[in-house]
Amino acid sequence: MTSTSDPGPFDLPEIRAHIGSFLDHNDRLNCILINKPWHSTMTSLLWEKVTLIDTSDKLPLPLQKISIPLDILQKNAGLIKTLIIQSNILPDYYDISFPILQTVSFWPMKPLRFFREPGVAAFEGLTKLIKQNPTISQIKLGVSKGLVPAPDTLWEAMAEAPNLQLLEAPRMRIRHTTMPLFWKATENLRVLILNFESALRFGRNTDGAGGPLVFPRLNRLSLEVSQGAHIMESEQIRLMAQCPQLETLDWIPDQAFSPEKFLECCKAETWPNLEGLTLARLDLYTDADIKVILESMRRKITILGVSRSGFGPRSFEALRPHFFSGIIELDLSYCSAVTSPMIVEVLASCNKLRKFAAGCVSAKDLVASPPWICGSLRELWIYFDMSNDDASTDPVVIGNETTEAGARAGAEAEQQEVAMERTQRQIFERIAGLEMLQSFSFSDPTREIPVRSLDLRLGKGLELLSSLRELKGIHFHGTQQWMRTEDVEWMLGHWDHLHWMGGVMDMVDQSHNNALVKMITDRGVFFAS
Amino acid sequence: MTVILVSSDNQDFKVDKEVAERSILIKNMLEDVGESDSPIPLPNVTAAVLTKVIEYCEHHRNDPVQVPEETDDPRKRSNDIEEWDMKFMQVDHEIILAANYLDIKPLLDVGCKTVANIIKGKTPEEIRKAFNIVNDFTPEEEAQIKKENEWAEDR
Repeated sequence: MTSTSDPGPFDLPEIRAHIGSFLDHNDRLNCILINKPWHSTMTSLLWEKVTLIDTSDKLPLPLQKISIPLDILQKNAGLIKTLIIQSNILPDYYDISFPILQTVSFWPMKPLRFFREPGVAAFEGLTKLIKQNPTISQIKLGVSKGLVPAPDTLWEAMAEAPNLQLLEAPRMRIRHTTMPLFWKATENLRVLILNFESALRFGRNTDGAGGPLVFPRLNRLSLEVSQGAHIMESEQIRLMAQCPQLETLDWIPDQAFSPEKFLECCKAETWPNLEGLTLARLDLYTDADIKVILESMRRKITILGVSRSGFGPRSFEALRPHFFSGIIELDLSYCSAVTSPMIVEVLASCNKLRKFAAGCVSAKDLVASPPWICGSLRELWIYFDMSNDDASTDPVVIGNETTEAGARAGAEAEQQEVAMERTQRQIFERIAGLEMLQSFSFSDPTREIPVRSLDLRLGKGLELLSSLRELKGIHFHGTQQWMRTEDVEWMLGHWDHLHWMGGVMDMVDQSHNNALVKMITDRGVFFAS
Repeated sequence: MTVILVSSDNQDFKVDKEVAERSILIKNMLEDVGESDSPIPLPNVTAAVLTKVIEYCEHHRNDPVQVPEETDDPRKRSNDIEEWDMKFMQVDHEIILAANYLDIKPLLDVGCKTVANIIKGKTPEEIRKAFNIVNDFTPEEEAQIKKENEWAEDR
């Protein structure tokens, strides 16, 4: 069937690359030595992303990497798409040309923040890097909080960068006098992610030109204003209102403003293309207000985050048409007007849902609902009311009228317990169907005393969750648990990607609980009590 | 509705249209050709391989069409191959080439993941043995490569 002169699958570079995409770093390092074609393919994969760090600095243990020699970096510069500058490095590194460089990450805050802030030399280097590498399309500034604010030359270089589309500057302390330069640097971006920490007036230059006129290309804006920044609400709204192409907007203001100004923008169809909206500090937004916002989003709604707002039946009505057409993320956490039937309807109607946070759902409603179609769910936070509501709707079972009241009460209690266990298993079954689930929380934030919820024990239904092979984290704060060693062992054994857990595992025996916590943290899993 | 596929060694295969269209190449060809009944030649696929490919497409005929997934983890998983697929792939790496040519992404993924699983944990020499690959490096070149790629990033 296969003649040796015919090409095999490994002769095609795209197939080698595809195989390479399924291999981890060490395997790729082995493949690089197979033969010349494999060497070529794997080298491209291995050098796509590079971190620059200077090991003469005393780094905390997890950050210790070998610092790449200049000549090696130079040799492979043509393969690098992402450059991460983690600490102060020698200026020579900034002189290198990177012909296909796309993303520069400067002092990223993850995985671990490097203690020493960037100095003048580091900023100068970054400025030079931007000037010399016109292919750069994304700049992510991790730290800009220190004694040395980013210099004006940096913004000038960014304004000149021909392909720049994304700027992430999560900690912005910027001089008031630098603002015009900042606007010039950002006006042609597609994505802008900001957190203003210092007091600013966005507006008026001395020459009368007030801030940026319009952001003609901005598709995504994330505007966070830290407490203490004291930027006027009208300024914040004005910035957002100047982005007519906005598809995604996140607004996290420093305080709870009243809804009028924002609602005016919505009613005026300021953002005709808006599909994703996440808002914070919505204490003053009523159900009617949210409804107005939703109705102004004429295209589909794919992302909605309205935590701690008055979202209720009217908003739900306005949201309903978007269930099938593709709501992907929905955050209704801490919205006291969200009801159990609403939650159940979302789970049974939103087939593209990936992230969902809401409140309390009644176990009875859940179990009686139509099948869930949200099989793509990655993150879920809901908590359960396991109580059996009206004892009157459950007819007391067949029994002699003459049975003693006490015995009957005992039998009832037993029946309820059996029913409760059955209900619980049914809930476990539903959750088990969410095979892509990565984060599952059923923490109940409202109660002081732990409440009856899902019982995470083998035999009670835990074993049904073996299908959650992607699970990274599980939280169960505020719920009653009586977990045993074997239950925790099972979790650690079955959930390969488990990374964090939180809650009280044994509410009766404190020392046993501590032992379980230790067992978990010893395996490298984070635990939050 | 059925279509006729013709392998490189001139064997005819009658296949349901729905099954044949798991191959994007064939799907596009059918759209271009319209309602015509003429058989579709596949000069790059032998009868033996085509038999296997059709078997795969039949088994998966009801799978949802794959939409490119945005995963947070850039490193893709290879440990999720269905049992049927695993047994299926034990036959022939030729299927990878066919899947690439016919543009059947799920089959290509299964094939590449299977190969990746064979590669995992092996030294270069062991990998060469597993796939009958000739080493075209000199020892000096090998040493040089090892040295240079020490610096490459571990994600």
